[in-house]
Amino acid sequence: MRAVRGWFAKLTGAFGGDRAEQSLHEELESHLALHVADNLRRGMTPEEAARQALLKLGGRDATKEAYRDQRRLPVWDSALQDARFALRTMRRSPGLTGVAILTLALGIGANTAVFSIVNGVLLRPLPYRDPARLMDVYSSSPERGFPVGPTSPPDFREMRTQNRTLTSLSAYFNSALNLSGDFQAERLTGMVVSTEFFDTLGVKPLLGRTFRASEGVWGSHRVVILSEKFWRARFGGRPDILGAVLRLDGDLCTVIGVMPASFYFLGEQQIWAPMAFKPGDNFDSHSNYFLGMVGRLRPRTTREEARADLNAVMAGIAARQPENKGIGAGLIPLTERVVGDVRRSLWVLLAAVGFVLLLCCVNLSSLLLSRDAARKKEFALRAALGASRVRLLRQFLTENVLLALLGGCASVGLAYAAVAQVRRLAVDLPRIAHVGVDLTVLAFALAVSIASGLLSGLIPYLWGSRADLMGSLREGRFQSSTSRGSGRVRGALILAEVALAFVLTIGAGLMMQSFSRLLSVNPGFDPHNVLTFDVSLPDSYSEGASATDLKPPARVTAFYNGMVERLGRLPGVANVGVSSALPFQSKGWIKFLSFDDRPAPPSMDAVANVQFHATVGDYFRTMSITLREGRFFNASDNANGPYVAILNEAAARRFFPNEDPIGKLIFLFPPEQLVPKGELPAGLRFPRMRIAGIVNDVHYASLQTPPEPEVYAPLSQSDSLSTMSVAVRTHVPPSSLISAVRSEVSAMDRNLPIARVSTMEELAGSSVALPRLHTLLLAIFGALALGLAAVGLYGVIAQLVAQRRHEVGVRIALGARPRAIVGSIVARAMTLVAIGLLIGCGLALALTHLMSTLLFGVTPTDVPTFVGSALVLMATSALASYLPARRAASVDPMVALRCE
Amino acid sequence: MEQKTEILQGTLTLMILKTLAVLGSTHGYGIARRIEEISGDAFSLNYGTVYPALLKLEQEGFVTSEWGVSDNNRKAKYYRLTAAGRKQVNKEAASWTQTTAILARFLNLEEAK
Repeated sequence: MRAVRGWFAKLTGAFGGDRAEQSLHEELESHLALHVADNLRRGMTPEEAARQALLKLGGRDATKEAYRDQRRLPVWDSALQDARFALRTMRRSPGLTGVAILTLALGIGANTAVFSIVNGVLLRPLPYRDPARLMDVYSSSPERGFPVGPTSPPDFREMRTQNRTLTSLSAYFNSALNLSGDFQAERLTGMVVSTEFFDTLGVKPLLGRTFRASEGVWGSHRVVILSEKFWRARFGGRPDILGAVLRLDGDLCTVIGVMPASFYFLGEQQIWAPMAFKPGDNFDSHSNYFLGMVGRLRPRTTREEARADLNAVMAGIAARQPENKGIGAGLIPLTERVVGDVRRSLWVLLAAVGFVLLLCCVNLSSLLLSRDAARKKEFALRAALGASRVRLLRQFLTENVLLALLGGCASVGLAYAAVAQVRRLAVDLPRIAHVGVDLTVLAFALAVSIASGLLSGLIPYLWGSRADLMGSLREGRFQSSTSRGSGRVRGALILAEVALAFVLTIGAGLMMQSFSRLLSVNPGFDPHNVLTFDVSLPDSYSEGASATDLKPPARVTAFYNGMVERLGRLPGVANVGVSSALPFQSKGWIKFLSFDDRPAPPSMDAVANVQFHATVGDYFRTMSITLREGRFFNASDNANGPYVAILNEAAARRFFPNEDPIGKLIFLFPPEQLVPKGELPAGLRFPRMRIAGIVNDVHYASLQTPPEPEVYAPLSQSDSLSTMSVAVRTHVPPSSLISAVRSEVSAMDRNLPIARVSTMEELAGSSVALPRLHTLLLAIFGALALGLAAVGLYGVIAQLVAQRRHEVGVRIALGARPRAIVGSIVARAMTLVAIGLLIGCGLALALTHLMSTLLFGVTPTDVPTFVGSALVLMATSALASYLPARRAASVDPMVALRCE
Repeated sequence: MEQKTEILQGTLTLMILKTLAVLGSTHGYGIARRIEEISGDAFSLNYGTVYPALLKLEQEGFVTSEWGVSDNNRKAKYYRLTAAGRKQVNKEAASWTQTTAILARFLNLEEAK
């Protein structure tokens, strides 16, 4: 306790120093006066009395120094002293200080920005109770081509009740809900969840309650929970929202709770509804796989145990239900599901930006090295006055850390700006809303600043130069021009700069190559001048229709046909088409594919699968998809006409490799004899469709993924999804038609909103947002690296040349041609550069394969990229060493010689 | 030549405390002189070392100081024990007595062999 008090007094003793000094001075003077008076009384002469008193005291200054040490913490004290001294040094050379701070600000800022992404996306725990135990649970049927897929409601219920390894398991699916009634019609992003969903995640509502088990029963399911954001935006945060009744898709639903803004689950939702199925609902069957699942592992249970357990449950189902054959289950941590895809790319970015920082440190080292060389006399003086080596080193490091902290402060501003940009560019990044500069990020920036300050100060020291410097100081060789030690360090710095810059330019080069290849992929349609939006028809449109109709209710078809016609009449509109999915929307619809003239496969799991699109209107012309063979759909392909289909080329190649598909009969169901007895009305024959045309392949999923086999059919002859997407090709800028389109649709149904309005170009743009971000960042890092290397090289060569000025003067005086001198300097620099390139090449070969998942159409060891980067770097280096060399050679020999 | 003992680390503090306990309020010079006198000039004491030691005691709250006027009308800084300081004198003195007693026994043992 006393020790703490003493320590605290010492800590605060660093302040208010002047008064304490004054008091000490007076105390010592009074001491001496007392002593002198005593001495005089003993009969000494006044001189002798004063001398003895001082001698006995042990010297004024020594006493004061010991007293000061006691008053303050010695380390703290000298650190302050060092810092003050460092600030003075900086003020003496503002140019150099500015360059150093700028270099560090760039390096630390870039690191802070990238780290804030890593922190927000990867490191921050998910906002649930004990998130490490939460698992993403999925159905798995590798034989049917779905190693990871959604599950069906009956499978989910059996897994929920029969498993022994999860404390709870819940299911969910995304669903859009149309809000109408007293309110302006609005399309809400919603999620339908099994009732224990919020308990599984371990989250509490902000207001009201979460769902009860009884609300999972059809009839008592008309309750909803709102998100805080939606509640505030739509209802002004009204406290009496609980109990309010909303009209959603025609149903009256009571609001029972509000979830806090901090809650989100795989994307942003505005509303949650309990999962309940009407008895006999086709969705509630083993033939519909659309549920995601999240489960919480029991304590002391491993993932493997849970996997075995769930697979045992699934095997039990398959024993009773033959169509479940081959469907198992699997699970991965929920965090993996959320961030799995981007983890690798973010670590690559962090590594790249770390290299940039290293480069900054190396640059700073060489910068400080040249300054320190110029301060040799000062160090010699300090060493001569008894400063220990450790003390001098601490002085260096204090200067560097102070520089780095100043750089770090500047970097935070840079990071703020960069993070804002990243958030704008990377809308698709999971958890992007949680990326920001927070305390963790600031702590990271601080740690990086201090580390880079120490590193840049220690690099030359560790390589022996500063030790060397000290040695030469002690020996008094102030004027030694190029001591071999510092020359070696400078050479090593060049090697390091070139190697690091080479790795980064290769990374940037690979990324740019890959991105340009990605952009040159032909998407298979023309994204310019197309407006797109989504429409979901409420259940009221399907009333009276039966699930076994195998085609949409007449009202649904009539609505879409009418809409296509109305929109087509708008001025500026060329074509209108509707499809169950547009490119880059990440909506898919998979169906069976069977052939009328081929024998049925032996079992259900051998039936082929195909991507399916139901279309209305001129979908192909609207999207500028070209016909390869046959014909497009036309008006006579309606509910009463013969059934037709159009394949894409991938489907034609896959399923009709050696024959002409036109005119062949296919159907999008399993062969009738494979369907278990009793599931279908007796004698039902699935409708056969005649292949009418072949169109070119379209990249629906993304530019990176190759087109899959697709089948298109008219909506009136197939069935519909609740949400359909509309494409409008225009002669005018597409966004100028948004309000006209909106009012046309609401004129058809006042309660029907349109959603996800965007141009096709925007959709295409956001589909490459992540590759664009990666490319942009790596290109920036590459350019930074090149610039830093050039500046660093220039600095080092200039320094070397300046030290050899005398020698150059002598050589010129002896008749050497300036060109030969320039040549020899550049050649020496380029030798170092070449070695640096070799080292960098080895490093790059070892590292670039880590980014192979980010690359498209380029191998990580792409030779042209390596060669190109090497050439760019060599050209830059040649320039950076030529400029100072030429200046050296143009010096007047007499001036150079007189200088010494 | 007379051998002067260096002051053992830590003993100076106790001597200062004891001096203040005996003399009451005293200035630094007075404390230094008193220690030298009591030791019979056996210690080579740098008077200057008294001041950091006094500061340490003050930081730890065992002594307080104030400016005053000396017998011969000189301005001087006077130190005196606090309540905690008086307790500390007894504690440290006891501790030292014990230590020296143990050491003495030890040394006697060595001689007895």
